[in-house]
Amino acid sequence: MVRRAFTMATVLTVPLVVGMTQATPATASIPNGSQITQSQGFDACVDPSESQMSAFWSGSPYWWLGTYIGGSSMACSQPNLSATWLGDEYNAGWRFQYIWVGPQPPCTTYTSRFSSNTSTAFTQGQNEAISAVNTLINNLGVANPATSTALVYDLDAAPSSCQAATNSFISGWDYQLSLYPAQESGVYGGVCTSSLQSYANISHVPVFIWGGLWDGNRSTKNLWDSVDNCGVTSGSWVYSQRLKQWKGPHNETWNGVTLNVDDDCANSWINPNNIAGADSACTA
Amino acid sequence: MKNPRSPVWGLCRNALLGVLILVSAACGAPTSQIAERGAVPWIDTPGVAAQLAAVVAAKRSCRAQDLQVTVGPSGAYLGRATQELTIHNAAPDACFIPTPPTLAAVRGNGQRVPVASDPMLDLGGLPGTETGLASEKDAHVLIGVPATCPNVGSPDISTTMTLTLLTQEVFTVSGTRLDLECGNPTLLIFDLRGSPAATGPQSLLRASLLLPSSAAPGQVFVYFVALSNPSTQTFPLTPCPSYTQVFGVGNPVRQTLLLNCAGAVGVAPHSSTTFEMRMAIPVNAERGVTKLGWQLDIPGGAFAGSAVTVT
Repeated sequence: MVRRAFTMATVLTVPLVVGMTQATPATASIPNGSQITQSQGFDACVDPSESQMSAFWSGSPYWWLGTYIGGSSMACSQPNLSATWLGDEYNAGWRFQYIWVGPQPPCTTYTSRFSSNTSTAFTQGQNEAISAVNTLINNLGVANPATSTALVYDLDAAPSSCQAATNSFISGWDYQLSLYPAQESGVYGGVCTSSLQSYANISHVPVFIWGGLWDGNRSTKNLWDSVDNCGVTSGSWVYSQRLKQWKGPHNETWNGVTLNVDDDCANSWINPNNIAGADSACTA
Repeated sequence: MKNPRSPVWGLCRNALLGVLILVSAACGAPTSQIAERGAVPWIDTPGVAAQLAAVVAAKRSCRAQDLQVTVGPSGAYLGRATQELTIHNAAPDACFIPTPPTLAAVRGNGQRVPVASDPMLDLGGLPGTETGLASEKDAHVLIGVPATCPNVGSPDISTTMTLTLLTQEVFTVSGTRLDLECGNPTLLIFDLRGSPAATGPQSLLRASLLLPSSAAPGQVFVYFVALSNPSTQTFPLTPCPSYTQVFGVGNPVRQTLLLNCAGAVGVAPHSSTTFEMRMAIPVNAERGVTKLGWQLDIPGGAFAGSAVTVT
C-alpha cells in the first residue's frame, strides 16, 4: 500500500489516516476554477435547497448545477442562495456554473434593458461583469483572488434588430472579465433566438458559449438547429468551449424529490476545479 | 468479493476496532483499505430509509382569506419576460388550489387575459387537478410573455393579475409587471417550493467523508463519515437514526442501515464523531469516476457526497 500524507483543513477529534481523502470542510470558501469539465449538469430557475440538492446527487448523472447568482433580470428569487449554501453544496460534491442575468437587449420587452447606444452598451456590459465578480467574491465566498472562474451572462433573447448594441454589450462583458482578476467569460442563450453565433466575431469574443438547443442530444458539438437552420457553426468555440442545454424544462425525480429542471452537458469550464464525471456523450 | 455478513468478514470487522489496522488481503478487502483510530465500527443492521414527504391531505379548497400572494421579480427566463409570484397558505390547515392555477393578467382597460399553460412545458400537475398546499407552505409560480416581436415599442403593460380559486373567489394581485405587447402570458413554472423543514437537533449535524479515492469491483469499500456538531449541546443520537449510502450513477447500489449508536454516546459540542462505513461494490461495477452519496435518514439530515474512481 502506498502511504501518503494528506492535509486536513479541519480539526477532527480523530487522528489522521493515510491513503484517504477528505471533503473540504463546511466552512471553506469555494476555490476558483480553471479546469475543463465534460460532464452532465442541470439548472433550475430556483437554486434548489440543500435537501433537494442532496436528493439529486445520489445516483443521478449530474455533477454540476447551473447556478443563478444575480442580476437585474434574474427571473426567480433565490431563497437558498448564500455563501453557506454554496459551501455546503461544494462539500457535498457539487460543482457550479455561475449564471448572471442582467439587462437584456433594448429591442425587447424585458423590464431591464441595456442601451441601444453601442458605446453605452459596452460600458454597461463592463459594469455587469464587475457586479457579477463582486457578487461571487464578496457575497458568495468564492476564493479571492477568484481568477479563472467561469461566469455566464444569460442573454435570454437577442433580436437582430438591435444586434449591434447586443454585440457591444457582450464585448464589454467579456473585456471586463479579461481584466484582473481575470475570469472565464461565457454567454448563455438559445442557439438561434439569442444569436449566439454573432458573438464569435465581436471585438472581445466570449471564452465559451452555452447554447440552448432542446434536441435531446447531449453532444456539445451540435449547437446547430437543423429545423430552423441557425445556431452555432461547427468551427466556433471548438477547443472545449461549449456547454449545451439539451433538454428544456421538465419535472425530474431523484430519491423522492421532484424538481423542474433543464438538462445540460459541458465540454468547458465549470467551477471550481477537480470536477469528475466525464460523460463521453457530452463531447461526442 | 467477500460477503460482509460472513463469519470471516465478521472477524475481520472486529479486528478493525480501536486501533489503526490495515485490513489484510486475507479479509477479502484490498490493502488500500484502512481503518481510522477512534472510529465507531460499522454494524450490519438494516434501517429504514427516510419517509418521503406525504401527499398533503387537504380537505377543502383554499379561500381568498387563506392566501397571501407575494410579487417577485420581473425577469428573463426561457426567452420570455417573466413575473414571479409566490402563493402562501397562511391558514392553519392545508387547502387545495387548482393545478394549473387559474391566472389572468389584467390590461389597463380592465380586460383579463388568461394565463395559458405552455404545451411545451411539463408542469408536473395535470390540468384540471388540484394541488394540496400545506399550512405555511408556498407554491411557486412563474408567468412569461414573449419578449420579442417585430417593431417593439408599443408597450401594453399589465400591473395586476387575478387568481381564481376553486371557490370561484377572485384573488387580485397588484404590483405585477407583464408587457403584453408581443403576446399573451403563459405559465412557465408551477411547483411547491422548498422541502420538508428540518426537525429535531440531529438536522443540525454536518457530515463529511473520509474515503479512499478509488474502489475496486467486488471490494468491500471501507470509508468513514464524520458527523460534526457545531452547537453547544451534545446530540445524543437517540432515537438511533438510519443512514442511506448510494454508490454509482444510473443504476446505483443503495443500502439503508442503522448507525452504530451503541458505539457512540453521541456527538459532543463543537466536536465530531466518526463512523466506519462499508459498502459492497458490485463485481460488475463500471470502471471510471462515479458517485458516493451518504445521508442521515432524518428530515433535513446531514448529507455528504464525493467522487470515487472505480479502478
